[in-house]
Amino acid sequence: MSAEPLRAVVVGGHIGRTHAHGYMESNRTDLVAVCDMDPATLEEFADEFDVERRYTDYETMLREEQPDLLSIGTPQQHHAWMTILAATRYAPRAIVCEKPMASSTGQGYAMLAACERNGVKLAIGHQGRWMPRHEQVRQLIADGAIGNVLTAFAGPPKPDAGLMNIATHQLSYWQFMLGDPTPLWVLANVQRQTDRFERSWPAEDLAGLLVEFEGGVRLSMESDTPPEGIERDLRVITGTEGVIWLSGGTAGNVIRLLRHGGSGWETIETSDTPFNNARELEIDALAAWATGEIDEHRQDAHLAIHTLEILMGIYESARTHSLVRLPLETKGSPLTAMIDAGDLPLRYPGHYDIRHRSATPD
Amino acid sequence: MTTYRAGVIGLNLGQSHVRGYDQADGVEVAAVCDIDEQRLEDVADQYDVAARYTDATAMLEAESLDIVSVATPAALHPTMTLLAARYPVQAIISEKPLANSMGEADAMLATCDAAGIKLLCGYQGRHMRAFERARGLIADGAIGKPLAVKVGVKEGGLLNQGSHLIDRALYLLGDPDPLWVLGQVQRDTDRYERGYVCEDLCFCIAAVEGGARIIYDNDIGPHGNLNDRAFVVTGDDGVLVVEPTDPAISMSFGIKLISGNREDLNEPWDGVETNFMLEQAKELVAWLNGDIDGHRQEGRHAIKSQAVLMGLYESARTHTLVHMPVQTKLAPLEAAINEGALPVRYPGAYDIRRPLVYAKDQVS
Repeated sequence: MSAEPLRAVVVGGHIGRTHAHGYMESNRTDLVAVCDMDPATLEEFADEFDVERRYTDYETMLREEQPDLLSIGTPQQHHAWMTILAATRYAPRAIVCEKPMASSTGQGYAMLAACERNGVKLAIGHQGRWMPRHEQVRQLIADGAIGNVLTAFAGPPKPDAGLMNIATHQLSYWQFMLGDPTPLWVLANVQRQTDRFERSWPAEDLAGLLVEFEGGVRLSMESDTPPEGIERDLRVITGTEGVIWLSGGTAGNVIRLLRHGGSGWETIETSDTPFNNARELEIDALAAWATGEIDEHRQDAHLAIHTLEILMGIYESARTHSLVRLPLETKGSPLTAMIDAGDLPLRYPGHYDIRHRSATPD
Repeated sequence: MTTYRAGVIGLNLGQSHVRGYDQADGVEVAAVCDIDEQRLEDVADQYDVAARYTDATAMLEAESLDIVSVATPAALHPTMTLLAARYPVQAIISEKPLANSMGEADAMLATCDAAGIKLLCGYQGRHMRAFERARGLIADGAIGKPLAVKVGVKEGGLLNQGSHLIDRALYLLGDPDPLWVLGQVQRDTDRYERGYVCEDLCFCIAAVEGGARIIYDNDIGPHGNLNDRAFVVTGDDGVLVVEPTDPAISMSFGIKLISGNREDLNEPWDGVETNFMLEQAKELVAWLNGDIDGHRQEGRHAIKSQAVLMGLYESARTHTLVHMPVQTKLAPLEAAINEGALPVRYPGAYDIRRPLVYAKDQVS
């Protein structure tokens, strides 16, 4: 461990608070400054973590603080420019940018390129990859506990989830559980009959998708579909020799495993490691990655770009009525393209936002 | 005992219906009909049927039929079924799918119900023993509450091959009502199936009563470790896989059960090929005789898979999750094409089943 703690800054006083927690808890890092464009949010945020250096202007903070580590906790449409600006002009050692990585794959690749050119390590806030139950499932599958994986199914998570808000987490830990195979193609549909936004960026009413990964596993997933009696957030992986169930929502930590051979269900209780704890692991690993103590971070943007490819692939499949192979040729947002082209006419007018001004970190 | 008089319209696929009636007790092939005179002669000669027609109305007028099989291409199923329903027949078997639209299928069922005619649909796959057995195991709680049925076919089209699979997925689950469908369709090529528009590929997620999902796809190609046309039924207390167990024989379905409440099972195909058309005919005779109170191919079951098929196309057409009943009564794939929603990217019309003609006795 390096003697000097790394100097960390956070922009975005809503979700950024969970990052601040991580920096406070880690003995590798000092939280030296925070930023939010809204003065009231900034005061509340800085007071909560007792941070003196406060900024309403992002670039001023970067210039003044020259941080080692940067957390970006702003709405998705700001992720790309904020990451690129920081990497290009101030080159912190590492950046952790919140999920989704960006609002288009074009933006995502630009983020990767800017960070690579400037020697900046970039992680994306898919901290579900640190949850013990996901680690356990990854290990069980890798160990062949259920034989060869035949199918994977994810039912609808919480209401008003949104692809870019919650499904990005789900897809990321699904990739992780399956051993991070490359996604090959997506076939999907998206409904947007209401004028729905998520923190000012257009969101769909609901979606359903099929994605195939290298090796041939097809994962079906639903977002904001009517559950019709099935438990929310149900995830099932069926293999030739058994089945794994994950249930209990994002707070749940129970894995049920049934193996061929009549031994009955095994219940695997994983340690109770909810969101904030995963955040601490994320930040600790970020610091170690930044200083070169470790070579890999499981939230590396090079993995998250695949998640973004799937997300944009969902919209692109709906836009073009086709099975879309990844990486996509279309680099812009297929969702906004569809809306602009009139492909998704509003049936029920009235603008609303499913997350705006929410002070609750998710 | 009555011997029911059966007539068959359309002798390409229909020659298999003729064979089934010919083999079953209690029913005889009274007449056959096809617009292709050569085929008409060939099939009628083979089964020694004297009454031969090139016009279905003429056959229905003259023959006092009890049973009519409609085995024409799908676009004609409604016309021929509604025509036959004007006559005092007791049962009509329409080949699958019932129709290319929900409106026509609804009309077929309503018309037959009103006339007291038993309507069946040609989903003969329900007679395979592995499926009977699997349905029984699921009903008995072997996998607990069903959550998802995953099934797909690597080629063959939704209405042609996929309709059988969706129908059998519903059969496995005990014929629940579908609740909604979310799907997508690709049609970049100008593809047809026996003269009717067909997609390049498609998928859907369909929710049924109780919450279980049917996750379906066709024409996407091979699929990792999952065998073509394998049904993987996952429940909260186990998994049941119904799949072909002899790679050389497409209908060699066997079952494999992993259960939390009983012994696991591994029952490969027993090697006995199901005589689909004979089973269809035998069960119909038993139903008409009042020995049993239903037929597994009844139209009231088929209308449910019909709703999933039409819902899939309608979901793609409208960019929506389609709730049941499907309100749009026209043919949604045709409508989507006509609206320009599915522009052909690679021009050139082709047909995946024509001019394929079944060799005699090669139709199961």
